[in-house]
Amino acid sequence: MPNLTITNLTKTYNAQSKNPQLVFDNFSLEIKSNIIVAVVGANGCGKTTLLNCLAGLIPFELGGIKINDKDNHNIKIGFVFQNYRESLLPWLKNIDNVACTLEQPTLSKLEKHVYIKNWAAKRNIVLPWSSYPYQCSGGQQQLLALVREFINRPKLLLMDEPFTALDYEKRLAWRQQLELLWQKCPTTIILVSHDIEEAVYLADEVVVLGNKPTQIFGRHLINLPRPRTPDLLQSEMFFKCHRSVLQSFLQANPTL
Amino acid sequence: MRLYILGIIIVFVIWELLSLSVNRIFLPSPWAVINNLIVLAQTPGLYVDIWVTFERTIVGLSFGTVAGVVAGTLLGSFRALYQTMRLPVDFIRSIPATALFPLFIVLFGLGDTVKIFVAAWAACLIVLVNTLYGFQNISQTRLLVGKLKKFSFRKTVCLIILPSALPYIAAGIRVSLSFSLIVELVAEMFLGSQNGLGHRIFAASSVLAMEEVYVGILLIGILGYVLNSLMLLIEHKIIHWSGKGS
Repeated sequence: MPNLTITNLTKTYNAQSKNPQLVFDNFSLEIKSNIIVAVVGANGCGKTTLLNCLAGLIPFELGGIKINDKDNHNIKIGFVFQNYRESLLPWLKNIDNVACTLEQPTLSKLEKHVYIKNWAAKRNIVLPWSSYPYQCSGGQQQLLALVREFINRPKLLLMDEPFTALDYEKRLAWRQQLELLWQKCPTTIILVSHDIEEAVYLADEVVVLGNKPTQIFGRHLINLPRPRTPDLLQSEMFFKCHRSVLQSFLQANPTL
Repeated sequence: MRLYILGIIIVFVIWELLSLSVNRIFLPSPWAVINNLIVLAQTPGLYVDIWVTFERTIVGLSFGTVAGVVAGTLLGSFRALYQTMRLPVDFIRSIPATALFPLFIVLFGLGDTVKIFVAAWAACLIVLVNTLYGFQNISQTRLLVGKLKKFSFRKTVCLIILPSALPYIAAGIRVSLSFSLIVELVAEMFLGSQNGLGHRIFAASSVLAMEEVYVGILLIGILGYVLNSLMLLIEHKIIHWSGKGS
């Protein structure tokens, strides 16, 4: 049973101007429930446009986006930004950063705080709740940005290159953090990345995009055991997956 | 802390040496000035002058800040308004407040109103521009967060827009503070004032009471320093998160 269906999506930038840019022309994609899908592609292939259309941030001309047969505007969608630090509100304490976007309108402020602490405790998440984000490490800020989304049980979680700004060793650690959280709170994740290693490491399926208007150059199921560990990066299985994704990527970018 | 005191001692030593090498009428020794301060401190007039200058500056600054924040918010929120008013605002901003004093006298007379107005005028323009910058520099990512989370207009303003602009507004207020004090003192000197530290300095210098002139200068320095420190303290309390890697 597919969770997310994109049918015949058509999107043009500057449609009214002299040189309209056709980004999507009858683009369709179906994605199963509760898996991590990585979308990779070269810069300018329409990855970010796809995320923005899914999130309902920008309009598109034709086609439909349905999540569990509901229109994407009427459904809870989470979004993790590339610059997670900037997406937090530095003037609010950690707990209020989560509370201000917590979708429990009937709860009072105090009840929200209790709810958040209980939710986190049940999942062994430890955060300095009464500190401010700037007093926390980068890892804690990242975790906070993730908790803020996961706690609302989104039907779809969109991530825009969330690990790009990090050092390699931190990236390894935080990929694990994401996987752990996702296993405790399953949801469909669409992760946009330009890092093939990261895509293969995290995803159940990698979709390779290329060209404008955007086309799918390959869909690769990644049947690696979970939880994934940094050791996996050295395994034959990983290389095989990596190679096939890279092949599609190169096909999509013949000028490289 | 020791170096802190050392700095003060050095200034006094240099002052003393300088006063020995020039005519004492122009530069009395620091001891004479401090002596004069002690004498004047026993008259109520000195406290009135300090209070009056402080009060006018703060009241003017407050009015100016409110006006500047409101105007800056409007200009920052409506693009067309900003484009229309950009040139006039930049032009008016370029006119030193002191150049407008004769105009202000005609408009407001020589009473307290004009003295508060000049401080407010100076503050308003600075705060306006800073507020405007604050609004123009709001993080697009944070605005997107508000949009994605379907924040109401009020929630967006209270949780994202105003806090984002706050550090800029605070910086504007702190800069305005010294400017308001400057124009306030000039106003007290030349706009027919009967009190205030500016008036005291001007009156003392016209009868060559140089020690009192220096007392006035010293007190203004202290007043400016205290006001600035106070402002920093408030800033530290309210926008403690500002400039810390976010």
